[in-house]
Amino acid sequence: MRTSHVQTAIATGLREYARTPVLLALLVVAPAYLVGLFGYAAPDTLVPVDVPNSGQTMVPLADVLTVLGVVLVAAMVGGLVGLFVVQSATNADGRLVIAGFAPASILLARGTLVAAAATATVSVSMAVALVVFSPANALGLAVAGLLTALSYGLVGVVVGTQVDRLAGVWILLFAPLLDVVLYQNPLAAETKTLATLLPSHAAMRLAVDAGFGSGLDWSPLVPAVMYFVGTAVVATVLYYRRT
Amino acid sequence: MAATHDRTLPGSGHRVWTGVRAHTLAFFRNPLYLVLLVVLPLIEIRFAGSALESLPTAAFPEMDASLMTTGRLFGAIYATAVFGGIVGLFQRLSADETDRRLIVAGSSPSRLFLTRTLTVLGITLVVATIATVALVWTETVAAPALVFAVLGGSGVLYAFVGLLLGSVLSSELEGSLALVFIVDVDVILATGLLPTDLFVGETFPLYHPYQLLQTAVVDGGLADGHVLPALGYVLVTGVAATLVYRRTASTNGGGA
Repeated sequence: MRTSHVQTAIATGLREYARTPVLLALLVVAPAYLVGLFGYAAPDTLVPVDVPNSGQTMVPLADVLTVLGVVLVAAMVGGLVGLFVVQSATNADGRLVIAGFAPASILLARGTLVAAAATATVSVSMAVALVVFSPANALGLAVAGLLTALSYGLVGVVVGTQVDRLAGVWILLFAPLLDVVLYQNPLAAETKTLATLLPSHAAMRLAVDAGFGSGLDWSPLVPAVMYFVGTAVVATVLYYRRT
Repeated sequence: MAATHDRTLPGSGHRVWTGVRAHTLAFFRNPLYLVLLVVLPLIEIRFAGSALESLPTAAFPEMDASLMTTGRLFGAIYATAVFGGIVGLFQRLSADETDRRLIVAGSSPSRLFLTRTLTVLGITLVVATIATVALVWTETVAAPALVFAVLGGSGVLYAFVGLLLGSVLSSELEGSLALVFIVDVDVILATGLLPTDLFVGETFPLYHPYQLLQTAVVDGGLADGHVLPALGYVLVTGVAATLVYRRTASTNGGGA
């Protein structure tokens, strides 16, 4: 794996982003719109939230939905970008391999592009979230958002290697909503077994603790990172088989 | 040089029908699409109901139906809107280059748009049927025919939104991102999962269809005050999608 190859592939991908101003605008405006709307439109009614290390805590609904919004946006953008990065690169990557690029270099470059989009989205989401709400630990919330985006980005890569774009988009529109809004909803009184198997489970626990806990417990980071690594391994294997 | 005289030729309806049949068969020939069309709405309806059931009712004091019912309605209307929107978007974007060439070769943009639209509407109504069956299977539905009509209308509404986005945005990623943010916020607001006193919640496209759906499922009646606004949204998005398609297709292909 040559560093120059990785750099070239990353630079090409970033240039492609830069050439699509509408996409860049969407990556900034859409997260701001969703997180801002959740924080602004929801009432301040106090609702019970099961905070991992602080027990049941009464917090304003608007704050709960802001935290939910940060994680949801990360999952939606990460998944779609992962899918399209692997789909749009399919033909080009095969040619790059023939031209002498190591598949690992290309995969690293594609992963970096997903990470760049994830970082941009989470940064915007956090900036908007901090306007409407003061989390107990902003860094923890940002890390939770980033891990969700990266995990979903890899889920997008996995899906993208298996199905075409149309089917992939359907799957990646349904999955984050089902996972984040319905199964990991911080307001849920009980955690369903299925919820523990979904990509944003550990990240959402971290996000809720970071949002409302009295002292942040970073332990959910371990399963979140493990999920990310596990998905990365699967994505790498499938990508290698494809190229 | 664009020729537009085919609009006056006899058999134009036959050509539209041939196009619709070809596009629809091409779509349904993919077994994965068929599986997803059936499985995803079922999963969404089934799991959304059970997931929402565990939320505290105190957080949603103004929700008319039970949380489980709301979850299932959420799943049904979301599935129909998302499938309709994405099919509309992809039909428009993936057909862009082909349609341009056809316009240059003499086809009229109106006929091409009609062909694409009828294909999208046909697929959307299939999704609405599946969602209705899934809803009837999991929930006590007072008026199934009305539920189908409302879900079909919601799908058609978002099919037009998809066609519209496909005409103004240049890539599938951009269109998908725009659509997911629109439809997610719309459904979350419409179903009351984001309870808000703000008037803005009632201005989203699915607000009125959801009220109709809820009444049709729970009471079996027609929520009169919501019929006209819901139809109005369908009409407005339909007209906007048509106008924007004609404009962009003409600009790109020069064959208006």
